[in-house]
Amino acid sequence: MKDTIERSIYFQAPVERVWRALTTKEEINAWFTDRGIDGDIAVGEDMVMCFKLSSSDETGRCRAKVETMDAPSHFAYRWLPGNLNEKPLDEVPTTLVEFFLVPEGEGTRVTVKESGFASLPENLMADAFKDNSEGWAEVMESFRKYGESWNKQSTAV
Amino acid sequence: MEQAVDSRLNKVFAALADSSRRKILTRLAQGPAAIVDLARDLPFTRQAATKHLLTLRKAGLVEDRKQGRAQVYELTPDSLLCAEQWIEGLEADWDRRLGALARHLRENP
Repeated sequence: MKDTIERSIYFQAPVERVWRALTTKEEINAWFTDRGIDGDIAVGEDMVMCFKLSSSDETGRCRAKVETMDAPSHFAYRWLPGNLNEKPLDEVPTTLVEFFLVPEGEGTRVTVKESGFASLPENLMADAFKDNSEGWAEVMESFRKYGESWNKQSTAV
Repeated sequence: MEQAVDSRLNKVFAALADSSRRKILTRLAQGPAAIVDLARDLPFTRQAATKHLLTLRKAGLVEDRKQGRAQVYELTPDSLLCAEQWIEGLEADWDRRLGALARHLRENP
């Protein structure tokens, strides 16, 4: 299970301009949270990010907590990705989303890093388990081995 | 996409939430088996095995095929890739958002 997603992209805009687009409500709403943000974008504050889901017209509501705001170079928040999460963040596993802004030429290079996936599925699965009996590790292990042998077979073909 | 993967993951988690079904999966990881084999190797009846296999099949964790007169069940290895697919979906989400951000910055310099 990979732990981190990383994306890097160059914007033809000064670093302060990109920072504003990432950290002010009306700006984020223009490119991401098209259905608004409840709460303040400030360190330690809970906010709920609302956006149209790509698969339907429904609104995704995702609770997030800002961890770092070092203008204009580092913005980070925690959330539970890809899901409709309105539970308090200390009750659910989270990933950390970080934006790193670095001036490059006349523009800005932004690296987005989302990390913490390795612990995520396990926790989500633990949640799903009504009975906490043994057997889970064995299943994962046997699946992994089975998958490996299956992959070998298919590459051989 | 998000929702399709989410719903599949939910099914997978629900199917795995039962220790009998985990035992079946562990047994099937050693090789394909018919219901009689499972009922012989594991501590439950054929009826119970049939019911669990149905749940596992709906979650995409096992497949069945005819082998002679018997119905044989085997693991679908790519079902484990489900979690990986979920992450790929999230990567695609970021690509989409960053694309939207690039457009926004072009249109609102």
